[in-house]
This record gives sequence, structure tokens and C-alpha cells, in this order.
Amino acid sequence: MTAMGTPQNNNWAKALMSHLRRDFWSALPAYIGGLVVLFWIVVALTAPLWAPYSPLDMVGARLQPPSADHYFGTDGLGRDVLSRTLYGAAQSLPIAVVVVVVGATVGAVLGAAAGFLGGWTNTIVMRLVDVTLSFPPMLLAMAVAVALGPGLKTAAVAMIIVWWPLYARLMQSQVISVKQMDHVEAAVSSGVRRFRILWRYILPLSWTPILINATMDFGQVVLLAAALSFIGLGAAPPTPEWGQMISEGAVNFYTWWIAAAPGLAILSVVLALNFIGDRVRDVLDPRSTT
Amino acid sequence: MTSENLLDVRDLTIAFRTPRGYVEAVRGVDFVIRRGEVMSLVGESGSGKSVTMRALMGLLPETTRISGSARFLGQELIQKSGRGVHGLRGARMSMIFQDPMTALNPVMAIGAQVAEAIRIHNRSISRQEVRDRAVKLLRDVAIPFPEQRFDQYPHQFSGGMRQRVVIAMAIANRPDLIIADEPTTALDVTVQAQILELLRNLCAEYHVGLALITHDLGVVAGMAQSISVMYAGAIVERGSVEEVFYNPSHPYTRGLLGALPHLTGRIERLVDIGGNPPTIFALPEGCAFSPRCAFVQPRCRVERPLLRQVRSAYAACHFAETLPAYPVQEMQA
Repeated sequence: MTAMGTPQNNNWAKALMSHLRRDFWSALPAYIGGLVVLFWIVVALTAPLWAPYSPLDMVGARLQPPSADHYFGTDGLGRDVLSRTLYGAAQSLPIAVVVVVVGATVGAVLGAAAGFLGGWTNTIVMRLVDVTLSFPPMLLAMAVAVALGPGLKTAAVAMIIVWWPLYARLMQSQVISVKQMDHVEAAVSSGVRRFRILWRYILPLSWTPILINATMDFGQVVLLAAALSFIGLGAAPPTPEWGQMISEGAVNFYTWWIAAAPGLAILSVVLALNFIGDRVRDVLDPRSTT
Repeated sequence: MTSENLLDVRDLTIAFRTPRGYVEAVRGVDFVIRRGEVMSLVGESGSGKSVTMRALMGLLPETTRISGSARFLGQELIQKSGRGVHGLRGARMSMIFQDPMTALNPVMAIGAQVAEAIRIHNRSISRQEVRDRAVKLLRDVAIPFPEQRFDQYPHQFSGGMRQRVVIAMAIANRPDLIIADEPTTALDVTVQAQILELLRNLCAEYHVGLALITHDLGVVAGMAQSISVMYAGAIVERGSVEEVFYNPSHPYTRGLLGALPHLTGRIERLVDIGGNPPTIFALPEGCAFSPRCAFVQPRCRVERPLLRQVRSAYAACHFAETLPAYPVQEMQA
């Protein structure tokens, strides 16, 4: 860039394209991850178009191994495992989205308030965070899910309760460190209003770690949701949910195919989301140089 | 008009809360800034220069204990609530920060930041008018191509150009007083000269008072009319620049001046002041400078000297009149 004068054209699209070209190979896993996630989103939205059978009907003999009729076999009630797995995407993925989005939003808002206002707000929010984090996450999620009654919605609430403190703590520390930067003090000295300082001078510099963590956490949430369903605290039995399907398949070790399809589905989604999360961190966080 | 007191600070004392109790960082400071005057506050790091000015801008943490009085345009700045200053801050008095690399919001276009400084204190003017005025300000601080530069971000500016933006923001509302906290310390020497030149011209043009915090005596000589020398949280000498430079009455001021290299005459080893400044946690009894003073007397170790008139300046030294005559030398401006 020229040092003085000559106006630069801020061409976003151009910059983005050259960026994509330059880092294509290091970003390749993220692109593949993106395709996998995109695949599952399409499946979740349009499962009836692809599934060979209804996920709830008994369409064949019980416990059939994979065959030309049933590519992933049938389960203990004679339902088609492939159909159930495809329909399951519509159960497992939205819950992860809801948990991460709500958890990150609640956590970020409370954390930002705590960091910016300090004093009592900070003490109350951060002690709440400490208390929540002092429980093993699985145990707390189980306790909340049991207390609220089993079901996918309560499982989501339980997971949000487990998840928000991580974001709150991250946001609070970030806001506190940005708050002490010179440009914030300069804004205070020129009389910028408090709320505007938070909005224009602090938050734009504080939210990237939240985004990084949220993408990294997606896979974890899918896993936790599956785990809750596995122990019977998530989706109720007839619903095709991945974790719940694995738990059905785990009953009989020799009918491996019942758990295989949902297991592979979870594996692919979690792996894909982690690839994306790694890439997001590489791009947004200059401190990580891996 | 020229002799009007813009800012009148009396007995300003600032104490910070620490785990070891309240500690006084500034101990009873008085000074006056007149309209159109450049007043320079000098002293080494930790002597309380910045803290004094930050207190006036209301930038110190709420737990800080501030007492004394600071009247600006007839209004008391040191208030219990601290809210009264809000309307003045940024409008009638503004501040230029030391490091232009960090004093601008990295995620806002510089034009938007200058515009913000205008709009905060004048909400009725139209968007276009704000933009026009912001562009004019950028032109006033000699930024080339202000229209094109308007939409660029701080990382596209060099240090000197950024400091010009900061100055543009400081003069956006035609303030009566500008506080500049070491405005050129972070810049290299040639840029430093340009920025000082710009500041001097703007101050003369708009007839504003300038409080210049610095530890560069060369800058003081070139810019300021009056000077206050701070040591360990108190002013030890105050007066016109000529008087203080040619005839320093306080041993500390003499030490500072003696440590400057001279452009004329033989190059000799520079004279330093022995020892280190005291920490504010353990100030010596009596005169804070006594442990390092070459002319120390028993009285200095028990009785704290107050600022009093010595010739046409003021000095806080018991023996200001009886010190050996200061060697009169050509000071370099």
C-alpha cells in the first residue's frame, strides 16, 4: 500500500477472493467440512425426498443386516435404519444450533454486561458462572433434564444452562481487556456516551473469540445431545434421533449396523464442524499460529 | 481577554486506593492556564503529570479520592458525582493522547470518528454537514486528500497521520482548552516537529489554552510560555519559561537542565541527578527531593518546603535564594 495520498479502493469481494485462493490448501479441510455440514442441512430439510421408507413404520423383518432392500439394515422393530438416520438429522442438528446460538448469546450478553459494568453486576454474574462450571457438565445437564422431564426441548434447555457460562467468562475477560485500551479512554475523554462506547468501541473488538468457540462447540453439543438421548433424557423413543438410535443399537452387540449409521452420521458432523472451527480460529485469531 | 484564567487549579490532591491503603500520587498542586497560553507540565515518569490531567478530564477510576479545586470556565471540575464534567468534556476541553497507534478505534473509519466527535456535542446538524465539517478538520490538520482518506481505517494511516486525526478530533468542537499528554513521544523526530508546529499554529489560530505534558525540555522551550516542574506528585518550580530556564531556583530543575546536552561549547559528559525518584509509598520526610539534592541542609529533611515566590517565579525550596548562582548558558530553543 502506498503510504500517503492515493485513495485505496476497499473492494471486499476482491480481497475475499484473493484470500480464498491464497489459503486454499490450508483451508481445504474446512471446505470439506462445510460440504459435509451442507449435506446434512439439506438432508435435515428434505429427508422425506431421500429416505426409502418411513422412519416410524415397520417395513421389514427385525434385525436384518445391510442388504439391497435396506442399505443399513433394520432395527429391533423392523424399521429401516437408513431412513431413520436421514430423518434423525432434522432432530439432532437443530438442537445443536439452538443450544450454541442461545447459549453463546446469553453468555455473551451477560459476560459483556459483567465486564463493562463491573462492580455488583460482575460479581453476581461471575459467581453464577463459577457455580455452574463447578459441576461436571454431563451431570448438570442430566440433573436439569431429569428435573424438567425428558424430551428434546428440555434437553436443549439443560444444555444451554451447561453451556452459557463458558461464553460469559470468555466475553467478560475480553471486554475487560478491550475496555482498558487507549481508544476507549480517548472516546470517554471526548464525551462519547457509555452505551455507545460499549457498542462501537468495545464489542467489535471482543466478539471474535465467542464466534471461534461457538463453531468449535457445535460438535460437542451434537455429542452431548446424543449422549443425553442415549441415556434416555433426550428424544422420546419413537422419534428418530441419532443418540437414541445408538442406544437402541447398543443393546445387542452383534447387530452392529443399528448403531453404525447414526454413529457415522455423528462422526461426520462433529468432524466437519471441528474442521470448520479450526479454520475460523486460524482466520480470526492472530495469536494461534498453527 | 489574554489574561483571563481559563483553568484555575488549587491544592489538587489525588489519592489512589491500593491494598496498602490510599496513596497520594498528587499532593497539593496549583497552577493556572490562561486563554491562548501554552502551559507545560514537565517531570519524570511517575511524577504525577498525567494523573493530574486525567483527573481534570474525569478519566481516573471511581475509587480514586480527589480533593482540592479545579475551576474551568467558572465551573468546578472536581465534583463528587463526576457527572457535571460530561458536557464540558470533549466540547470545551479535549485531550490528545500519547500514542496515536492505539488512541483511535481500529474498527471505525477515521472520518466517522472525527464526525462522532462533532456529533456528540451537536446533535442537530445534518449528516452531510457533519461530513463537510469533518473533512474540513482533516484538511486543517494537513491530511492530504481528506475526502478520500475520510473512509479509510486507522491501520491505513502512518503514526504522524494518525496523530493528526487525533488532533482533528480534539479541535472538532473548538475547545477552549486542549490537554496534550506527551503528544509526540511515540513519533519520530521529524514527524514530532511537524506535529508540534501544527499544534502551535492551531492554538494560536483558535486562541485555545494548551496544557502540554512532556518530559522533553526542548519541546517546552519551543512551545510553552509557562512551565511547571513536578517532582513526586508536587510542583517544585513554576514560572515563565525564560525565568525558569535561565534562572532555575530549585535544585531539581537545575538538575534537569544540567542533564541536557548543549549545542554550543565543548561536548562534555552530561550531568545526571544521582539516585532515583522516591516511590509514593515511601516519601522521605521533609522535602521529597532531599535524598538526591546536592545542596541538602538538615532543615530539608524535616520540613516540607512549600511553593513560594522566588524572584519572578515560584519554587518549593527552603534555600532557593541562597543557592550558588546558576551558570548562565545559552539555552537551545
